Amino acid sequence: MGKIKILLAFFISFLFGFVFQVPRNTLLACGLTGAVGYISFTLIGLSQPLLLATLLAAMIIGILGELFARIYKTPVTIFVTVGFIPLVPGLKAYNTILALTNGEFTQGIELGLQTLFTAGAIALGISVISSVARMLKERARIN
Amino acid sequence: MAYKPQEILEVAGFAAGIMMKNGGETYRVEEMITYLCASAGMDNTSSFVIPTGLVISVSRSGATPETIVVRLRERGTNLEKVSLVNDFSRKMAIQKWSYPEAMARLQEIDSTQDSYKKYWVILASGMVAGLFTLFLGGVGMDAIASFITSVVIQSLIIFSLVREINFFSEFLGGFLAVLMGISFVKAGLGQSLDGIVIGAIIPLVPGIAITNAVRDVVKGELLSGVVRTFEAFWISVAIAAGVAASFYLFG
Repeated sequence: MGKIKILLAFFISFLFGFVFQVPRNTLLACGLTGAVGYISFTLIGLSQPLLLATLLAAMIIGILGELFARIYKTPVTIFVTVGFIPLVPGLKAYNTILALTNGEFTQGIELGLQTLFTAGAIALGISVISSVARMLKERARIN
Repeated sequence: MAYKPQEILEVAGFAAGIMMKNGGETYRVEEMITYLCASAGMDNTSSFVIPTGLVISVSRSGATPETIVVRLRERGTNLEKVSLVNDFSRKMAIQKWSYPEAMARLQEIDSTQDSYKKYWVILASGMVAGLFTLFLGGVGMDAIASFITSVVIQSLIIFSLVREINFFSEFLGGFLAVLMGISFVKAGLGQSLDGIVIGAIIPLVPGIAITNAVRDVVKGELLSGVVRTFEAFWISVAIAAGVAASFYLFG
């Protein structure tokens, strides 16, 4: 099952490239970013809490994005955007809406916060790598 | 490369507009403007870019500044065009393109057809939906149901006028996902309503808005960061409202 899920993550990110109209030659790298992100998430998730696993996986996606951007000479956005799709907390968001429509507000708020934090962890992971990359670039320019 | 200030303003404004309306980050657009104007011999360049418009002002030292305002109304996603304009700005300094040449190249980038035709995008969205359903543990029938649901939603968004109304297409997407999901499950074509619905709405996730919001904030573009965070948040709310309304009516 694990291997199949990795393959699914690859194709989800690969096909998402079509939706965002990414350059054709980057499609494979897009899929790879998604797959590696998901593998990291699963492996780290074995021993660590879910939020930390999400954060670290997002950072790995960010690093891969920066690498691929330099290889293909294209913006980082391409790889990062499609790469984090397999980590999107779809089930949590869905359950939040369900709880809120059923009038179960306490549960809805709890789930909603979990969703928000997971999304926040993804955003934070990407932003940490962006700032580090930025810092290194500035430093290289000064030297 | 002897550019008049008005000429480089037109080139930079055009390039920046294409990049911005196709999903480029604000800081990237501003850096490109500065780079283009400097390579055309301008001593001072200032630009102010937000997702809905941009202002560029250039001057040679000692001369009066010239300014252009470009208002951006249509928004879309075509990361290939962002990449092409990025290449254009790098090459312009090296190739020493003249004003007509540069404008012709930008015109060509702006009017290129999307590399993936509409039916490809619709098909890919459907497949993303189906695969995501499997990813969440759905069975084959669920995946087919979510594939069909997503194809219907995307076709509606791409081919009908709902696209013109901001946030309505996302609301409709969420609404239809639940409506069709319930119908599929009632008809015995699929077991997990959750899997079908989540799969079908995944292609609506505002990925670019989220990524660019984060990247702009990190680069100190707070205003653009806030605008894009707001956009991403509002899209999510629209999807959620669609799902909730549909559950309320049919669930």
